Amino acid sequence: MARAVPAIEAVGLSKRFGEAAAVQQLSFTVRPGEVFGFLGPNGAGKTTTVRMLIGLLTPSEGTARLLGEAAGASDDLRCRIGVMTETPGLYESLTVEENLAYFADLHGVTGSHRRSRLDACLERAGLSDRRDDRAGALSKGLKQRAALARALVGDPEILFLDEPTAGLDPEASAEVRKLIAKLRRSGVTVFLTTHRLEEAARVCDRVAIINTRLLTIGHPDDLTRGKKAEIKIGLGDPPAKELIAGLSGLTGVRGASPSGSGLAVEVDSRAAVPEVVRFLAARGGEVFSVTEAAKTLEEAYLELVGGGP
Amino acid sequence: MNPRIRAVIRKEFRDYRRNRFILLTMLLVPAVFVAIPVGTLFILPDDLPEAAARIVAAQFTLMFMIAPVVLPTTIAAHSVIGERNQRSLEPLLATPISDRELLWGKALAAGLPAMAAAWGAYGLFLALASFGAPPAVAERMASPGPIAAVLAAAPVIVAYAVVAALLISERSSDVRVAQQSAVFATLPVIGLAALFTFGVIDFTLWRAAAGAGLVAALDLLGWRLLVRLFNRERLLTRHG
Repeated sequence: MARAVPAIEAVGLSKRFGEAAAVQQLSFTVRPGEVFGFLGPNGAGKTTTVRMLIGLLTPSEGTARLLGEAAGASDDLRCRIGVMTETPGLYESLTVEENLAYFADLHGVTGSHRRSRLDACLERAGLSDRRDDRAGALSKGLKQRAALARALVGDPEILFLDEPTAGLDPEASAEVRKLIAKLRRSGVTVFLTTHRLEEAARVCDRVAIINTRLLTIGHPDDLTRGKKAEIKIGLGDPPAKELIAGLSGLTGVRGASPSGSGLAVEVDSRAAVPEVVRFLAARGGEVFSVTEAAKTLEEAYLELVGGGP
Repeated sequence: MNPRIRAVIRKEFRDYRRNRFILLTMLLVPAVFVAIPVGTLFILPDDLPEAAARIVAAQFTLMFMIAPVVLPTTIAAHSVIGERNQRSLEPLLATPISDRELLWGKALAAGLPAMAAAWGAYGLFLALASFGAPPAVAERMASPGPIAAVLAAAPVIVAYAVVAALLISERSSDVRVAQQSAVFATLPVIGLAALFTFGVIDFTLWRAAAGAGLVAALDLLGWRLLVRLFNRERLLTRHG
């Protein structure tokens, strides 16, 4: 059976600006229809990578392919992608609709199809009632939404979104996340650059964390799982020192400490939890609750980029 | 015309209409170019000596040959820098538009209004001059030589100004510096027009055609240079 062509494929992608290495030996693939999160601190090379993928920058080394074609190889390929940059980059003297119409023309969206496409994009971004407003008069959040609508106007197969929820209120952010989910259902591949780790954890099928080099890649759960876990145990009375010392000696337990009227226990894996509970119950501890304090994507991220524990 | 070039022109025209500075320039420059010579003509005595009439007519012809330089330098110098300043360049370059299409669109959008303004102002001037100018000046202004010079010079001079302004705009980051540099870059062409107008080079059809041909050759050379130097990477990153 023929293997599906990856939506995005980077092989040994590197970019140098003079002596400075902006991106080094980046290799990854993004499957068609996947929502792929791209995370990293400022200066990690995220924007440079996106620019290489969409053909605006030439890699110093390595190759990038989109939908089986070399990045930036043809106008036809650029017709099949949509890009929302970090700053909305709207023409402030034009109306929202005129901004979209301009990009529709550049993408070759013409005829009767054009009107319905513009309407659909404005509606998707929740801007139908603001279509005649000058872009310069919009709030930051509305500009973000207009830029998102503009990125959709060519009906892209791959959508590059750079911080799409920056400046949006929680309700609008949730709308954008819904839109991304809807795009995924319709088969659009989404390459999402974001600083919002909880957003990446919520909407992405996989995430890559980079700091000029690729640090890790995988499902958000895979990145937060594994090395260690912490459980919070609610007890009727504060635990005695002997109880804490005894717990620390159990197999699979890395350490325990008082936490409120209960305990915080660090374990190698979830498999150790039943034994911990049995140990406490056998020594008269009244266990009211056991909560897994899972490592967040933020913690995993900070560990990887060197800013965390 | 290529639909993407048409789209750029349409968008630029919309932008001009809503940009107070560009709109004022578009209205004021032709108005000034008509008002000054018309005002002068109306205060000149009817019995102006032949030699003076020749100089007045030559100056006004030069003025209308230079007029097409002013508008495109203002507009075209703004075009690439304007995109960069409002951060619209990156999303624009990520669309399927090619460098040539973008440059053609920008060039035509700056050049067409300049041509229309230059010819329109000249037509208005000739019409008004026929009413109140001293007969010796009116006769000279309405003769085929100056009319042909203004009509034929405008396209090549506009093209020169547009290409010079785009070249500077593509490599500059400040609109005002770009506009001033673009005006400075047009001085050689203005100088050539002045040589003809003041009789340093005698005006004959062949010499005028050769002068226009020289400017057209510079236009072509400048255009090729512009396309070759247009570098997306440098525009976005200052490297490349």
